[in-house]
Amino acid sequence: MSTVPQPPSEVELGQAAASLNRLIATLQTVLFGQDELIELVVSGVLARGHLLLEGLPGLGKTELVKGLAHALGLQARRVQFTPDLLPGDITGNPILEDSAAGRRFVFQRGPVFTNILLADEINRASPKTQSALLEAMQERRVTSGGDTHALPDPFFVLATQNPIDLEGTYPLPEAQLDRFLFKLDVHSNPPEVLKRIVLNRELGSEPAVAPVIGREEFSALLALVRRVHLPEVVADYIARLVYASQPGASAASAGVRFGASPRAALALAAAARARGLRHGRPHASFEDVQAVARPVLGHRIILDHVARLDGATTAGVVRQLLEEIPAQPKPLPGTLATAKIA
Amino acid sequence: MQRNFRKLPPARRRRTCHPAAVSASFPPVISHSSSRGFWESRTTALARRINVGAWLALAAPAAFGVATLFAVLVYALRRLGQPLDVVWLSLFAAVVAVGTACWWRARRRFFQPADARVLLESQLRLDSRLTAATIGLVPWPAAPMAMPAILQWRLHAPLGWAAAALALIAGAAFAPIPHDTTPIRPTGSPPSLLQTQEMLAALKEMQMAEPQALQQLEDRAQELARRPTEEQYSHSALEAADALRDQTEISAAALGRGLETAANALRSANDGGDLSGPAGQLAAALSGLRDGALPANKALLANLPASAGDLKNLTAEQRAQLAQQLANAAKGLRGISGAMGAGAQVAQSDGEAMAGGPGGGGDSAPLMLAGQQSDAGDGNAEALGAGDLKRFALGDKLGTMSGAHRVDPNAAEAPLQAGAVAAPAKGGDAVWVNRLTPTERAAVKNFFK
Repeated sequence: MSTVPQPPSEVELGQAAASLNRLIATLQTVLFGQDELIELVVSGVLARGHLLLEGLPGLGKTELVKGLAHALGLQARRVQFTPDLLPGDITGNPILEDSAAGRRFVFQRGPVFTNILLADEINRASPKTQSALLEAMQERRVTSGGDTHALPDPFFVLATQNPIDLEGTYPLPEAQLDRFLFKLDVHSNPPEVLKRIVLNRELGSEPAVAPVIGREEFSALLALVRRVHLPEVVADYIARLVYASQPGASAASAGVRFGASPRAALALAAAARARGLRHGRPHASFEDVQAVARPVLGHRIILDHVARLDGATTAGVVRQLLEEIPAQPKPLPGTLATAKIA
Repeated sequence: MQRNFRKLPPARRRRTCHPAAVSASFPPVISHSSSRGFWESRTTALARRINVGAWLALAAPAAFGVATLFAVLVYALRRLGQPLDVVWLSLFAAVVAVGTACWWRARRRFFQPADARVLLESQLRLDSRLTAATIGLVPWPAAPMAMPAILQWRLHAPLGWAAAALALIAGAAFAPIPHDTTPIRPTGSPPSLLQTQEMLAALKEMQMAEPQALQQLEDRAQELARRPTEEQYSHSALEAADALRDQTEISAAALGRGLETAANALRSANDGGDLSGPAGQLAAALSGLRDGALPANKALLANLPASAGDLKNLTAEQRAQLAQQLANAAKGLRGISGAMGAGAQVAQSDGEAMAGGPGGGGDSAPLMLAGQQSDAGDGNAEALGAGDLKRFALGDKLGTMSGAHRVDPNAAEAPLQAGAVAAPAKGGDAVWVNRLTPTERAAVKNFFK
């Protein structure tokens, strides 16, 4: 019988808030004008989730991931995914070793054996190579030659992909997309941010980022997130939201071919807890769920071709879901409506 | 589980980069019990309002249904002139019963305080603090200075139902009741049939007409009178009664004219001179009296002189007396026939005998031939009875015979002759009364406008 973890105490919440504020402040020095993206990246990492960042080249996706790795003091490795990349190039290969004891195969660990794996342009690798990450992302282990090798803890895959140059690319299959906690869109910067970038950056130079959170402190934060209380009414809201994404379950899902899975519900719960901790609360709230709904559900909802032809987007479907599904379990009667509160 | 929360030192609060997180995490606790009481009372009030709304959504259409039924009942009772006290009491009881039933049915849609709390904190964006405070994770948020409205009523539909229900009840209670338009059931026979029966009774008393012919008319009148009252006033029955009355009047008038003609012939015989002329007139009159639609009494006919010899055999006083009797009888018949008899006289070209020539002219038709007998120079002019056609040669003048035709009492009478003057002018429009159909009457009126 599982025991309900003790919610974080006031002291723990205060310490966590201080650590996270330092982390975010550091990341804001790496990437200018992307505060909401940074908040979501930190929440995703706190939820122990893998992140997929999609944006045009040169927006700082790779810089953000490298800065995060440095700020957390974790080991990070970068893999540039190319069409000729093999699965063994990621997970590792058995190497024939000739020693005094004789010849034997020794597993040579690949770059996946790290805390943070930066998978650049993941959609350029072949599906076979992409699938090599499936077990690693889900199970946090690698199996080769019948031997299972555990990955370091914590382990995150922070992948990037380019929404243009789709020729010669391999869109991630739904099975792998479902393993990313967040799919974040990186947008271009306004002129004032560009001006700040021009004044503070030089082409080809990386900002120096010092660790602001130690490994142990980060592990404690990860454990603290799991102790954040998820109220039953919030869990009910998550369940209704995910169910409503199924085809025909709601008006918003009219053009949906495949809805979100139970893994999406778990992802929502984890991300809501992480955001609750980020905002110094010992519990998750409806607002937390609504804030992380789009990054969690956007890449898990598959539209049918008619809806795509009509210009529907998964972001629009998620927005309609949030408008249609109320926080309370019962709908209001027709004689009443919620008032707009400024 | 309640926790004793300490406020963070100000320095540490400033280091927090997310001000909202600080204020949301550790709101100033004015009074734990008052804050809790405030939020719980608001939650309860919100749930109560939502439940009233859920009940109203069901009760309004149901009340309209009840009002519809009772509106029909009220209007029906008003039409019957029954009292409505019990109905109003029943309506009130029905509304209460329907309202209770709707409340019972709407219970599954009712909000519990927990549901209302969730709605309240989501609308006020309290980050589920009320829920967390309920389980003791965080302190109750402070009561706001001004509580915004969480819900707004959408009463268009319920008000519409209620207005329609009230309108139905008001219409049923105050709408004017139309007067009873049940037609008065007539009693007795139609006036035209009564007139016919009176004329026949008078004719029978005078004993001038052939009893058998009178009996035929009486049989037809009795056949019409034997029908049920509703049938007697049907269109076809009224038409038949009118036709029978007209026929009786015309026949009586024709009989009267025949008697008058005979009386004139007898008087002219006393003027002296040749008796062949008066004898011829008398013979023509007798022919009409014998063969008319209403033949004269056989006994009467037997007593009248049929030839010049018979006339010669009578003394002048006898002829005058007989003429006077015939004239009196004719006058009586004119009184019986009334307008018909007078109208028939107007149609005559002169007031003398109506015989149109040798053999006599038909005197049943309103349009009579010339009274003067013309001498066609054909020698012996004599009247021929019906059927004796072997004696006719081409070119011989024939007398007109009026064959009485059976009038179907059930058939509507067509005008015998359109435009005929059947009655003397009684101010002008009585001429057309008994001869034209209503359509023709209207057309003629339009023509003379």
